[in-house]
Amino acid sequence: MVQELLLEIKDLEVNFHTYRGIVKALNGVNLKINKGEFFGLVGETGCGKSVTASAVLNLVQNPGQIEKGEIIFQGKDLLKMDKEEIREDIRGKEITMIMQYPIAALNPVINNGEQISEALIANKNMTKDEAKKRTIELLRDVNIPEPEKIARQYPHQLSGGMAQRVMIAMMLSTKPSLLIADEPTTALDVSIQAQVLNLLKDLVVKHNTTIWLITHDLSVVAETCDRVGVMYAGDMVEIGEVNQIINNPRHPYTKGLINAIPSEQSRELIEIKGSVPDLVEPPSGCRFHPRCNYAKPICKKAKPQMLEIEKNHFAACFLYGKQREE
Amino acid sequence: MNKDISQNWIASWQKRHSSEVSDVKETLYLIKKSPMTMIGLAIILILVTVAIFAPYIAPYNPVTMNLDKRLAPPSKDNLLGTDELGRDILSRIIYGAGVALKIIFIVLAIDLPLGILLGLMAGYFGGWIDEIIMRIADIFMAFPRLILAMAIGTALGPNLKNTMIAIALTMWPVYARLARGETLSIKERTFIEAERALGSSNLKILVFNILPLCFSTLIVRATLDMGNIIRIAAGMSFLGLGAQPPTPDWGLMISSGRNFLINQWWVPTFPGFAILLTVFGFNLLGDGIRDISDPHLRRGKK
Amino acid sequence: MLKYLIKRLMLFVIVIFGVVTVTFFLSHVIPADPVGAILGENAPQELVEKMERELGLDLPLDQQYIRYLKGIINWDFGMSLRTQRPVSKDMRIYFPATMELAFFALFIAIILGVAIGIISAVKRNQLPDNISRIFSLIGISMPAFWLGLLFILILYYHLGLIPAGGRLSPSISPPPMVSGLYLLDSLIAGEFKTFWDALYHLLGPGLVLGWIQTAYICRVTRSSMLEVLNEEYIRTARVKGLKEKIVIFRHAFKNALIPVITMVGISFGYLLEGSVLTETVFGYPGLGRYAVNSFLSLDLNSVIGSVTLIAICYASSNLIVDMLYAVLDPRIKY
Repeated sequence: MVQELLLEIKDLEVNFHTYRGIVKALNGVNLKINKGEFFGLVGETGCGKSVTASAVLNLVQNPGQIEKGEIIFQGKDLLKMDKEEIREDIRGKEITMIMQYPIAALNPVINNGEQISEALIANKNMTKDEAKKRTIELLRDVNIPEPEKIARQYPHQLSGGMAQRVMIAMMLSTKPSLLIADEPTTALDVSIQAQVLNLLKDLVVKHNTTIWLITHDLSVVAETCDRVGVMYAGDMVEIGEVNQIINNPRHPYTKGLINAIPSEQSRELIEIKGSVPDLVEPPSGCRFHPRCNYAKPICKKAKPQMLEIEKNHFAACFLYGKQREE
Repeated sequence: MNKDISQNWIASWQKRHSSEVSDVKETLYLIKKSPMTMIGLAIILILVTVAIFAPYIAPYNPVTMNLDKRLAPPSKDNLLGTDELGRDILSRIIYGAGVALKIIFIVLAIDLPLGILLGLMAGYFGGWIDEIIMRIADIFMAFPRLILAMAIGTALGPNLKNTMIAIALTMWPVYARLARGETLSIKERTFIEAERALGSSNLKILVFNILPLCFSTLIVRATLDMGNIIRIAAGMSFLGLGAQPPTPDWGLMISSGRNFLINQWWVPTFPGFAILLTVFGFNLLGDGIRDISDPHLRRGKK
Repeated sequence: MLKYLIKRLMLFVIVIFGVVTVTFFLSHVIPADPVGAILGENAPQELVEKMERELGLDLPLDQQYIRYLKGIINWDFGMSLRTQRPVSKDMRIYFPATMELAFFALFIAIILGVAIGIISAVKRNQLPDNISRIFSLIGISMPAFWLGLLFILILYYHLGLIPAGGRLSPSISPPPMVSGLYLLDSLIAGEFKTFWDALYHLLGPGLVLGWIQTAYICRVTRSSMLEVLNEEYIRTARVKGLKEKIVIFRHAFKNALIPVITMVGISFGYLLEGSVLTETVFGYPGLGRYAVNSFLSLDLNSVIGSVTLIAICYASSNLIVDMLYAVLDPRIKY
């Protein structure tokens, strides 16, 4: 099966100009997402996963700035596009996003149905009545009982799981090519998590949408994703197919993450020593080196590039490839 | 044995409140970085300095009458002119700074403790104590401030002391409300539960844990209110209910100068500028401090 | 929602009752001698006692209180010693004047304040924002009475743009009384000359109060908008690809409205306060000036009357604001 490229991010650098100094949030991120796949981006809180997603939508929050890089979507570099064009053609139409706190992400003074209809009217030029009808259908698709009643209600009357489904209905209403899911289940109960994830998987199959899931939870990734990328402190450190990452992690950080999951064999909680670096003064060279058990002198001096370990599996570490010789 | 316990307690206090300590450091840093706040601070510092060193700075005695020189326009001798009794306006304004500061100080000295005490009680004990205190606060807040101050001021007698008491009585409900709100939100926090589990008495919990956290919110509010206090006091003096002659109070100066507005405009105008500048300074400072304590502004870390 | 409204109404009743009681006690602390004021200092004893009985001053305190409450329910505050008219009649004349002034200023303040506040928030830290912030800050820092004096000095004396004071020019007589609001009544009666004259006289005090209230409303609108613009659902609206105008007005402003409405309610209180000082400066015959004169002459009945009326107005505006919340915020409605 030939994998068609949907989104490619090249050397993306984003800085936040804050009171304390310049936070170098994204340090040259590279990733590729293929059409029709379920891609997972994993990493600890603060590693830059959400910032990457925001950059794609041109919604990086103040005081953030995209310094350089390319974001190629459907053949065009989004960073070179006119901002109004991105808003009109891309956002809401081709790329959409669901977020971590679904109730907070819904406008408290507008009823649920109207919030969904709005997306349809703005992006698909539907009339109010057409949008209304379609909204009810969409709510049914996401397994919401009594959709007409829910549509008339307001966000504060919904549970977390229901609100997330409303969000999903809203964000899939326009049949986008790419749906970004930024920690969609982190704030939900475990039982609801499974429901929402299964819903997403089904919808992918039904509508042929590509999903980019962002999470810090490896177990979620293991259950749902086709390919996975691992980020650390603003860098992409490993990318590969899910079974490659889970069963054959190559980057020391990924290994640490996998080991940190308690398993049936060992009840020990193995942690990665040290803590996440301050991105105003990040470590030189490879940003992981202060916490790495395998660190070598070169790790302090230079930033490792992504190298192919096996087919479709890449890691950015001086343990591998020609760089090993230096 | 007791020494160990208290040393442990201090060390654990520092650790528990380490985030507050770093907050304070960040606050001071942000203050330096905001020009508006710095200007406000500068104005207030100038005000305080002028008030303290008034006897040395003022060219003339503020109450000495000089009937030959009545209503003289601004000149080399009297930079801001003289009033209807020949007194130098500049000197009176300089001494007026001290009067203004005194008013703020006394009003807050009454209101902050009173408000904190009542608010803490209402929030911590709840029940009918809470209801009674809050209803009384509501009733006080049902009157527009100046009107209530006028009523109390008239009842007590028109002088500066009573004005300060009157203003304090109109403002305590706000502080009580704030203190109550903070108490309620802190009451449920886990570390209070932990303290209780350790056996601390109610009083200790109140004083050592809730009080310091209330304090910062109330200080911010107090800074915002300082300008208001001066304005209301000036209004009272203007109406004749506040400072009495010959006190060099700015509001009183405008009131007595009112008749000379047209032909000797400097008499009521300059004191007004003094009020404007002072209240402006307090508002700048208050705004700045409020912006800085706003958690939204500190988000830029990610 | 009904529960909320009922609770709020009960609070209103309690507060009014409390206000009335507090005013009663305050008035008994004010050092006034009502009998002496009516009869003079050297009146014969029997006359003094007779007057005391008439005024109910010989009764024990709680009975005086009941008598007082009865009076208030009938809206009877007794006679004003200063004007020699029933207080309620005085208030019937002066109250509409203050209302007219207050609404005039409020109208200006809401339109300008909200507009400038939204612009400020959207263009945060840019030139329009910085200018408006400084002007608002100056606006809330100025003593109203001083600004009034400046207006009289500059706009009246030097530029002749506003009249010296009062509500109408001496040559013009008031329109037939319908509401007591000259602007409205003159339009109803078709007396356009009167309308313009009344408007002309509202300019001085109205612009002073209006400037100050605009400043307050502008600041609250700005900070409320800024807070709302930071919320997650605004991000959602942008992700949906909506036009920025829609994001700001349909999504942000509707949510920012709630604190703004609170401020409008509080503004009304400030306007009542401000009218006290401004009316005095401009010689505008309203409730504020009446109240001041009552206080200064220790005219107890009119003091009680005006304070009670002002407090009721203020409490009512707060009540209306709270009721508006219930209508506007679905979180309370459902």
